[in-house]
Amino acid sequence: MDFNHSESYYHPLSNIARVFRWLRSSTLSALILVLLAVHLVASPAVHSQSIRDEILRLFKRCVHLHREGVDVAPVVATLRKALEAFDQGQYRKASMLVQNASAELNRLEREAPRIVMEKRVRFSITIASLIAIPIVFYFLFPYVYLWIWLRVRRKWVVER
Amino acid sequence: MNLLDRDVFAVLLALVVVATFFSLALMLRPHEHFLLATLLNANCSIGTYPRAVVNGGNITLCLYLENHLGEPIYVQIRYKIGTNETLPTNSTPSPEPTLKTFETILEDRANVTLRMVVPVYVKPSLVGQRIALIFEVWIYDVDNDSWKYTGIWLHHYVKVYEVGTP
Repeated sequence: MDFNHSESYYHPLSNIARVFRWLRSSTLSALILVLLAVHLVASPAVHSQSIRDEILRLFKRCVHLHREGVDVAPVVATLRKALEAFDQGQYRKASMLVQNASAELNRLEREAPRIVMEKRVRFSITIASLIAIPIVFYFLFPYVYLWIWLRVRRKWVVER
Repeated sequence: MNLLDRDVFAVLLALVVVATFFSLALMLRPHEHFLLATLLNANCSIGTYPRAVVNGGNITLCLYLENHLGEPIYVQIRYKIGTNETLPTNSTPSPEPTLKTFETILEDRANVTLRMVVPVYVKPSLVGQRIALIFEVWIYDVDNDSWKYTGIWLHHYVKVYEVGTP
């Protein structure tokens, strides 16, 4: 009989060692479980507060951008949805919406000078066009009227 | 009628000029800034508001908000229970403690309807009496980083009963 074979060899102390190993692993597992539980319990509160703070921060940026003349209505609508999701306890959805709003706001802030300039140019063109209407009417209306008058009567035949 | 006749043309031109200035005035006029708030019933419509409530029970109401302040607003509705003596004014909020808050964010010229389930619990001395459910509208002041009372509030009177009170 070969007592030194690794599979059949038995030492009385090996049980104690196994118990210690088990205890060590179970203590570690318990510790990990406790830590996880603490994390699960504590993190929504911490996370939710950060979402709320982020919504407020983004809202302030929206207002400043709006005052510059940029249309922030879509971002504000997304923030409202995020706040609604937050109030319903859907923190993951709220967080995702906040990220979307943040990305959109970053883009708008980058493009703000161009958007504001475009808006001003469009507004100026609208005002100038409105002011020009009476002048254009004064000079062009007789020609337009005569052109229409002639087109309407182009099939007319002049008889002697 | 000859539209190129001198007098007819002058009248037409006058009409065009007036229409142009009218359009310009409409475009350039300053917008009136206001915030609209209306209290609605549980179905979010006007009428058939609850008149009585059990002490410790909940009551459902809706609040319609419309923003015309010229910029996005972060609105907070503060719910309080008060009496005739503790109603808010246009400049000061009610001294009663806030029992619940409802928040929303509104873009300019947008509206929202908030469904609110609010608790009603009062001191025993107020049972059987008429109390006011107060909803104060606060907005976030971006310049001062703080909540600001808008001077707008809504209230609804209900009678509070204990369970088993006829």
